[in-house]
Amino acid sequence: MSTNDHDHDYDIVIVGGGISAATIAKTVIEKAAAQTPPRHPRILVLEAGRATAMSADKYDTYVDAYQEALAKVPNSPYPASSSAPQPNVLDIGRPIMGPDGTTRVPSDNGYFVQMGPLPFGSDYARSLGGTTLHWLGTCLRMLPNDFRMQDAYGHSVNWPLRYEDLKPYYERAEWDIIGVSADVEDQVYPGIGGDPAKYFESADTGKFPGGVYHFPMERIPSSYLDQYLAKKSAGLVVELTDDHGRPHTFPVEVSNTPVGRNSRPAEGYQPIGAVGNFDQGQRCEGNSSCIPICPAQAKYNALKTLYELIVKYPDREPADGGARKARVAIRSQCVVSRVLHTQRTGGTGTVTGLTYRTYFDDGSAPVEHTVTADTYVLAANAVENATLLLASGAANNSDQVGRNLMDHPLLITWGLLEDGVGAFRGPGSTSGIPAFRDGTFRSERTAFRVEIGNWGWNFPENAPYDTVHDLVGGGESGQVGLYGKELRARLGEILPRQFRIAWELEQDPEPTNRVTIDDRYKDALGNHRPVIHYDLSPYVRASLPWASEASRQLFTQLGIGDEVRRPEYRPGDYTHYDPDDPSAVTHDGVTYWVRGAGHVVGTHRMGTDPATSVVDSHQRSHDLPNLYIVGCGSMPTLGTSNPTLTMTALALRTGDRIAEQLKGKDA
Amino acid sequence: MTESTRITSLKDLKAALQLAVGLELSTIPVYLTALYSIEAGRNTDAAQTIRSVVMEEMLHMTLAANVLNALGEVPSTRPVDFQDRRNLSPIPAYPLDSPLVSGIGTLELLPLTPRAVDGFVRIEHPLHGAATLDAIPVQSGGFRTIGEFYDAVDAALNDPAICPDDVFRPVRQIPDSDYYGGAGHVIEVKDRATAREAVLKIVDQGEGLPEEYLHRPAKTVTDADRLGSGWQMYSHYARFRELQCGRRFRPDQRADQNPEGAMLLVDHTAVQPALYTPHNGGSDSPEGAALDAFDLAYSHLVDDIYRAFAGEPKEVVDPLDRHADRERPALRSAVHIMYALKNMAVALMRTPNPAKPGHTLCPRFSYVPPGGDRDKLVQRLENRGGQDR
Repeated sequence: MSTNDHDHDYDIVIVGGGISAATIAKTVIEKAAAQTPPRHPRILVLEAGRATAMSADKYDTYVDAYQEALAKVPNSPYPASSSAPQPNVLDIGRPIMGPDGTTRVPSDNGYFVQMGPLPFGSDYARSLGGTTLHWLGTCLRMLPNDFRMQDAYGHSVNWPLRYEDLKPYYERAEWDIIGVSADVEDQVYPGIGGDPAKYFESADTGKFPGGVYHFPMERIPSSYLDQYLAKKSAGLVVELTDDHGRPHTFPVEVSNTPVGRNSRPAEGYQPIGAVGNFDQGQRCEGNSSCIPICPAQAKYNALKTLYELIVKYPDREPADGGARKARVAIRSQCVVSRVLHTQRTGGTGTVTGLTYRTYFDDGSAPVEHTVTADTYVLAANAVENATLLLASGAANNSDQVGRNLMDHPLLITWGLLEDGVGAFRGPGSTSGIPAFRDGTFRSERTAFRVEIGNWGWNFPENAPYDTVHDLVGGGESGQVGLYGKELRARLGEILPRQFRIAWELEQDPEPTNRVTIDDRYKDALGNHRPVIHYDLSPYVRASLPWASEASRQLFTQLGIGDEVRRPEYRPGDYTHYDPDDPSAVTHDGVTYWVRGAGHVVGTHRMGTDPATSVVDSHQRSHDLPNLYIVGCGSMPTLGTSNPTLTMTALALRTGDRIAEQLKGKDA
Repeated sequence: MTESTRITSLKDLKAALQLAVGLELSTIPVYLTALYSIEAGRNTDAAQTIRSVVMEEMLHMTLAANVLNALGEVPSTRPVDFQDRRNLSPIPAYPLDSPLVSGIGTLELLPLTPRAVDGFVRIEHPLHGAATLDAIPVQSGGFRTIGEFYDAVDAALNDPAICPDDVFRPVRQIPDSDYYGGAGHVIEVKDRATAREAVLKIVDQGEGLPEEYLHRPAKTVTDADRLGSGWQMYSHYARFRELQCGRRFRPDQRADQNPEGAMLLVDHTAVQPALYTPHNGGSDSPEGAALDAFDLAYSHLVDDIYRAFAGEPKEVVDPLDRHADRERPALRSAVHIMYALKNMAVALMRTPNPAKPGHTLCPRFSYVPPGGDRDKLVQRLENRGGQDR
């Protein structure tokens, strides 16, 4: 095969085929076409993984894989290749640390090389569509103070953007890319001045008369569990005491969560159904497997936007007399190994090309290509962007590439309620408790968001399987217990009462939490595997006892304050943390399990100062001006929102900027 | 050529539209039986084809109801008098010989088999498989084809002598946002133009296709709806012809040709051998009880859909819901039963038929009207439940 396939005439090459890539491609095309004179860019998307799901029936092969998987972890439906491996939460192991705090034996039984002291607990998908294939769909905007942590609380860093700057892009992300279902009146958060209407007030008075914002679709109905909790916890005010003995109070309000799952549309909005089959996925059907896969595709995934692009802007010359249009090519199984550039250490330069290798499933050898373009975009996930830049020695004058890796470390608490609440039915989560998302306490400990999960004890206790095991007699008693009708009846009593809640802690940026590369660790194509150093700062750890105490107060209010353990089943608090678990963290002599939330953030933070940040507020590299490094990696701090919506807003802003830059050039 | 039946009064037009709602309903169990007989995850192309048509039939039923409501008549399951014919039930009972359209033949509930697909093609063919219109026998006050029927409806809607302008009122309309969203958009009928638009949409998408469409490219998109990203659907007839022949149409082919494009294979071994058994026994057996339970759920569903068409919100008493004062349109509540019904149908079709070795049970889609028969059905099921406990 020739390596000279006339790739040099692309306007833009995007590395990675996830939501950032889809958003930027769509935005650039639409903005550039609307300019005078119009421009019609030619765009190439290089996806390392497979493009299996670009038609509805092929997507069903993912659903089959999910149904057959024994452990239904986020990546279970999405097979990876050794040529583009992906992390898997089943691979998480604990590295062995020496007494001096250095890594004695890394845990490298998966794709990640975990250097510790804690394992990084999250994963992502390397397939076309990216991690939106298995996201939950939560679309919370960040709070105003999340953008100014240094100014407000003297901790972490400020963003180069304020909430008000990003607001119009949030609106476009909610309407034009993802399609978000929510009612504004439900969105009562701390730190927004008490009035959701004000927080969401739109400057686009043409679209929203009087600035009164509404989402494109009405809220997904709250689960029965949400309503039960709201009723049972009515009036509850959680009280927590800080290190100086000062009390902090948190009124508990259950708030319906904005999500990227289709619901009843507002006037003039067309929900986007399944890829290649728009009859499917027009509304959320209440399947409980949002993670790892929505079988109906009522949940947004980036394939929807990519599909729209290849249908509207096919990569071919217009037919005779046809109007000129943008062109989008998507190439899967193409792994970029190097960013070619002219940058010398300490100086600036330009990107001159990308080297990538196409791998095949039929046993033939991978083929190497070089592609050139005017503008390059890295949109390959925070960890992948970092390893690629480090391997290329690019864009790293600040020495911040790979650093400030963040997640939402997640504390789970769980109990058995007095009443059936329909656990395991309906979407994974429909509500949360926002009370702890902001407050003066953030000067000394991290904020957290509380997610109400509809999935019973599947996460902490491997329910329903282990529950069955207990009842038939595999439990501590060792005696044969229930079977047949009695077993079904007892399961019917227990499973619907299983309740779990997640306390998702904001992680602060720390330079020592980082992705690096090491020539000893490479994948089948010879690309560097991510080598990860990871820990929780004292600032994060200080919130573990708070979340734990808040949980105790909530559980007591729910009437399940008693400590109980399996295999006994009666109303009570089943929360306990085994110190041998790889996710165990000890703080002040108490053990907790802290798991990953799948929010992979940091690694190429944005900022105004090239000495301390990798990209500017448009996600453009300080060092290589024709290179954009985009995605959650650009976020300087994480806040308590799931990051995809914010990532999408940032991508829209970047897309606008790239389109503007096309303007000066010849059509 | 025989003169076709004409609709000459508003009363008859309303009766015709009551029967139109039922006509659209009548094809749905036929297609669903085939769809639900496909083993999970198998024959995905066939399943997608059938499913897409079912969704459009549901849309058509809704459109017919909107037109009827706009004429001031509440859609109802009760029998109607049409022209000189008395007591025509809009609600289908299978095997069904349409009281209205003679050419369509007998509608049967069959799993996905070549014979079933032949039936689908016949339903959706402009002349229902006949060589000429005249070859179809017709009875007084009836129609030979669905196309003829809707032509008559459209002509009456267009005639101010039959329905003057002030008859049309935008009442009890199912709004587009309440509809699931697949298959296209609901038209809210407020006047003569929108009423005709709604009827045209029924005709364009599906049954009642004018004969000349056969001579046009098969993949002509007959409906103006675009759901986005170029997703568009050609006629039901062409879609079922593809299923019948095991090949897709090429873009340059006409609808009356044999499709010669990509393969569309159906694995008939991945289909449950469901066998329809009419209402003839008691429900003493667990199988009989399961069939009864399905009929009861289906009857509730039909009632809920008609309740939605009648503009009655379904009352949902939920002490936990802070938004309890919100409207709960019955159509959205009915969706829950649609999913439940699917699960029940799939379970029935996996259950061996004790009377017919080698076959499984087949849902009967038998509507039991509220009143004595419904009460007896409920009673039977309750007694049965007592035995099980």
